[in-house]
Amino acid sequence: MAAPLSSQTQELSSRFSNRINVDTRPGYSGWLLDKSHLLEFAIALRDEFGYDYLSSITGVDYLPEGKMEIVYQVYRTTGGPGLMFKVQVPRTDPVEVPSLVSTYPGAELQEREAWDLLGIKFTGHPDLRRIFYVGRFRRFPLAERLARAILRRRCQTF
Amino acid sequence: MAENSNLFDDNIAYPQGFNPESQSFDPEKALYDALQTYQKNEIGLETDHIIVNIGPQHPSTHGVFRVAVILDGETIVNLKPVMGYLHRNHEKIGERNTYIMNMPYTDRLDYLASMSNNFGYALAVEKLMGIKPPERADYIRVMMAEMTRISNHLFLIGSLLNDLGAYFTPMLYALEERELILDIFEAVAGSRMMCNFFRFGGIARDLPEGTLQKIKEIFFERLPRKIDEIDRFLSENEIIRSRGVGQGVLTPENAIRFSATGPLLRASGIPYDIRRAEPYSIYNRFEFDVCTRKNGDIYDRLMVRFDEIRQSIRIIQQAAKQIPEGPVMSVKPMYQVRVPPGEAYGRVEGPKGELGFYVVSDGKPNPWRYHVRAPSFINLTAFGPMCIGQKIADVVGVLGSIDIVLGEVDR
Repeated sequence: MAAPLSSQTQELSSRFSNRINVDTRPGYSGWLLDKSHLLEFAIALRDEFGYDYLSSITGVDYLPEGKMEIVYQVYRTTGGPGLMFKVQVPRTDPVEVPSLVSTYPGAELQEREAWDLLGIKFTGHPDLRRIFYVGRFRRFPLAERLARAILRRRCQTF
Repeated sequence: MAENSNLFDDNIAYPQGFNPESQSFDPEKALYDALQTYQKNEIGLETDHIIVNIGPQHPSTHGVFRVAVILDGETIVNLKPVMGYLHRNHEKIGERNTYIMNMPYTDRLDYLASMSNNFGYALAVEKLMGIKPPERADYIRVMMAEMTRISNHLFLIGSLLNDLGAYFTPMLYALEERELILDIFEAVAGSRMMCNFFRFGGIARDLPEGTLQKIKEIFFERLPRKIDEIDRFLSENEIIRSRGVGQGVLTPENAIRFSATGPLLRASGIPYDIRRAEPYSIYNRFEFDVCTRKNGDIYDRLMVRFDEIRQSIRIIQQAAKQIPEGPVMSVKPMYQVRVPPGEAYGRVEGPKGELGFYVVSDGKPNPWRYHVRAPSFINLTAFGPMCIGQKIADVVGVLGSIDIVLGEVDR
């Protein structure tokens, strides 16, 4: 996705001053937030800026940096490019992030999926159960936990 | 002993005191407890509410999908979808594969619309790599994507009418047309359903001799007539109207709140189509309308798909006339693609909704994180609220009109 438009950048950074930062990692785009500002930011995006359609919630596990990141994509139903914002939390046990279900009810199944696959707990979610690995499965399949990453980079072609 | 030896046994680091084999809770009880959280109406005689599982093995659940409902007589008071019976761990396998190895896996996500899945994944990785396909490849991609949309909607018409009780007669009318499209896919890509046709920078191979002529014959002459014929049989039918009009209504505000996309959103009246809202590939060169309907019930969702088939035929007609000659790959075909570090979210308007691929790369041959935003999965958030208050026979109709494919819901 392209970098945020310059007019958007100005409006968002003037509205939220120093509580959000632009993501400056090479090849990345979007906004970085702290989890304490997440709900306020989401409500402001939906009500003031018109981003009423939450497209996707993903979790990414950055084991080398010791962080788990939750990536949100929102769009406007009137059209146009969207906004990507991320919350980074340190990779402790448990990983907890406020839930967006009260603001965007479409986040319900997606947050259950992030809990199931990665182990990110969303506080305030009405029904946080496993969605794919239902049963007595107690591990989080996509969270990196290999002591020696032999299996991680195994596939090469020719 | 040979059965107990595990080559990778000491490679996993669990937290202290964690035993993955210990059994601690009952998932079914958690599901039924979550179901019980609904408004209980205490007027009149006290009645019992029954929990019914429309179980994973059922002829109208479109695959292995389970719906747990609580019934008050025949009226539904709460409904929860239960999925995961077809979970194939697509995202973790995507991290193990190299980028080009992932392309056949994306075919099997929404197995009725494989070219769309390929399209989304190719767009996401091309954004990361910073390359664009040549003109001819773009035209062929658009034609294949629209043919996939028509093929998917024909299958939906067949299966929705099967669910509503018309058994196989409309299904065979619709599938006969779909066979012609699958013949074209077989000529172009080698396989009817799992096409694996798109590559990063273009498509795998050019159209064979005579295929363009065959496409023109089907889409200029045969298919518009046949769609009008099927429409004439179905849209004035009294049973479809009484089972469809006013049942399973999704209001526009709820549709946006529940992140519904695709024909589900457009049948409720919101004209959001990614091909117009944030155009990708060469969709800004074609004239087509965004099809919406006003009511958001089952009948409107069926009719909006007929409208979309007609618009797709229009796009294919324009593309078949405008297609230029030229190469079909802009970079040399490589076994190991070089992808710079970064992230990208590539989305397409798939036949079921917004299909998005979120790929994070760290410069190595495999992705670091690969996530699929599956439209069928997210459209199911609206399934519960849509069905509350309806009779149980309408659950089947609503589920059929949301159009889910389990390969995408479970990945």
